[in-house]
Amino acid sequence: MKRREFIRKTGMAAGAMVLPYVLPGGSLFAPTGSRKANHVVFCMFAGGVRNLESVHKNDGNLMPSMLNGNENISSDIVSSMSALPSPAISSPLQNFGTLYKEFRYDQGPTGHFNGHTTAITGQYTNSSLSLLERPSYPTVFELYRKHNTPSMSALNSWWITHTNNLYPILNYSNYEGYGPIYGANQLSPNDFFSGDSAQNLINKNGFPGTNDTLQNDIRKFLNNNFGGGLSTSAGMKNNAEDAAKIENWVDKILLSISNGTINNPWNIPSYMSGDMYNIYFAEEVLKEFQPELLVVNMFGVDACHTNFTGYCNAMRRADWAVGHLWNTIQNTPGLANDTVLIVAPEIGRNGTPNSIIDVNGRAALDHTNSDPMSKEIFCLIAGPPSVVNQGKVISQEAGRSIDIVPTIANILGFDSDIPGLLPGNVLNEAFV
Amino acid sequence: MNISSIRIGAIALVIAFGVSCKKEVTKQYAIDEVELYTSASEKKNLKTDEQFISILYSDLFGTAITNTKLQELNQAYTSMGDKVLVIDILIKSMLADPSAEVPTKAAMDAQPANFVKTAYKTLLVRNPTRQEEWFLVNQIEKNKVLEPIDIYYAILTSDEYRYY
Repeated sequence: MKRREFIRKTGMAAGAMVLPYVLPGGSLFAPTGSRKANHVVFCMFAGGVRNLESVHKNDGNLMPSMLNGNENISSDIVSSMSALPSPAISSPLQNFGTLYKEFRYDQGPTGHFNGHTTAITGQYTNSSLSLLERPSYPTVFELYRKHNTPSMSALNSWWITHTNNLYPILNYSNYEGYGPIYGANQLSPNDFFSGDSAQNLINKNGFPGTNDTLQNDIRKFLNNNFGGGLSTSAGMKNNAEDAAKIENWVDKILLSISNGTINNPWNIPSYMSGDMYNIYFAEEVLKEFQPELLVVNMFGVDACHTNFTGYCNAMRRADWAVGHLWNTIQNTPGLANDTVLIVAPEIGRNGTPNSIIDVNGRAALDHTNSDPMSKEIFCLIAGPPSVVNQGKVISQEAGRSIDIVPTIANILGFDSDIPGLLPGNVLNEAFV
Repeated sequence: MNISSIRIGAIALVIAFGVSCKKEVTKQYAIDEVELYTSASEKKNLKTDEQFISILYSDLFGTAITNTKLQELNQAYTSMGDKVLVIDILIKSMLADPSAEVPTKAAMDAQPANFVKTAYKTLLVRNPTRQEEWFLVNQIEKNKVLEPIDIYYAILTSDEYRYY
């Protein structure tokens, strides 16, 4: 063989060995570990949900989109329940996955922020947690973006949070070696796209974007003159291409708002709750970007501090929204049959009620550290039959909040690349 | 007089453009006058988020921002994790607002040097250097499609605008 031909042939062989291959979900290259699925959606069925009202159905089946059973809602509260459409899902979600009925948030204060932080970092928290400080351990978003192979841009990683007040800063930690460059795109759509805030943004669609190159040239000139060394890019930042995609999506949503098409888009009798809108916008992100990792939370059930019946009603709305979320996933190309959905509350609620009585004579419930019931939660993992055990129920105590992050890492195939940071275990019982 | 405190107080000095034969008119909407920086190098401090939003608003609308408006805009700002992107969205939204005080293209094309000086004084609180004035005037004269809003947008999204 001539030298030139030898080089060509060996070069082709070497090239073939490193050529990327396409995964079922369309991703290029396989990550370090094998993946169970190419997308994970983690829904914090949040605000503090007690197992008594959820999986134990003490007041009937308040979650018919997620749980099997036709148990009637308790007669004293049923007339206060809002009308909802039939579930958006063909069969309760538990039939598409594995239900851990006795999951535990087993350590740490039972506050919302502690519960969220534990679920998102896979680490226990302590009582000194500050609402203004980022988590002290890497979030699941950072673990994913740092350790997944190949590394993914922030467009693949989203944190959709119901409220602006406490949770936006959970999109990245201040842990050394991680931080904003591995952070998630955080969005609080209920605040960004609603009411007065949206009215301030709606003019944006009138901005002429035809002279981008000239604008960039002038800005570059100005920045060079200013010295260049000063950085204004602290915090999580998308690359220019992804930022443009997100901006286009924002424009589309703003246009829909100004057209009035995002006004009760699910046609819910009476109204769509904040939880429902949060899931609605999470779905819009899923449809637009098909991210590999999206975490979304809800908050309405926390009405239980003052109104037990309102809590039950909020739980029904949240349940309906989760059914809709699953339905959307299964009808979105790129996500269908390639997504694992994990649903779990961040904390429970007390067994002992407080002194506030609602219109139906029911006592309200807080969530305090000393009450063991506030640590009892459930976890439902649903996904394709080839990946997740279908219709399986684990009734004995199994699984903890800190197990969710390693489970997500395992699904996406990068768990073995995380260097000894996570104390939790993969929830293997859920998987085929 | 402390320059930064004046800026943070959202004092707006707005130069209104008239037709080319009119003299430059200075409108002052607040109590204090704005003292110009002598150069960009005097700006060492990054504006806080609220300072940035307040100053942006007063620069574009010629009036101090109300608490309600600041709260609304701050709500939008904190709702998105990518702060560079959300600031860009806020700037574009404000610039596209019909009530934003952006000079007309006719005024810019008629007196490009005046336009540049005014834009610098209004937004960057300093006079342009000779080089800056030459560069921008040249851009305006060379690129007939260039709109005042393009130059305002470039200045408002520049690094210098983030500092005082």
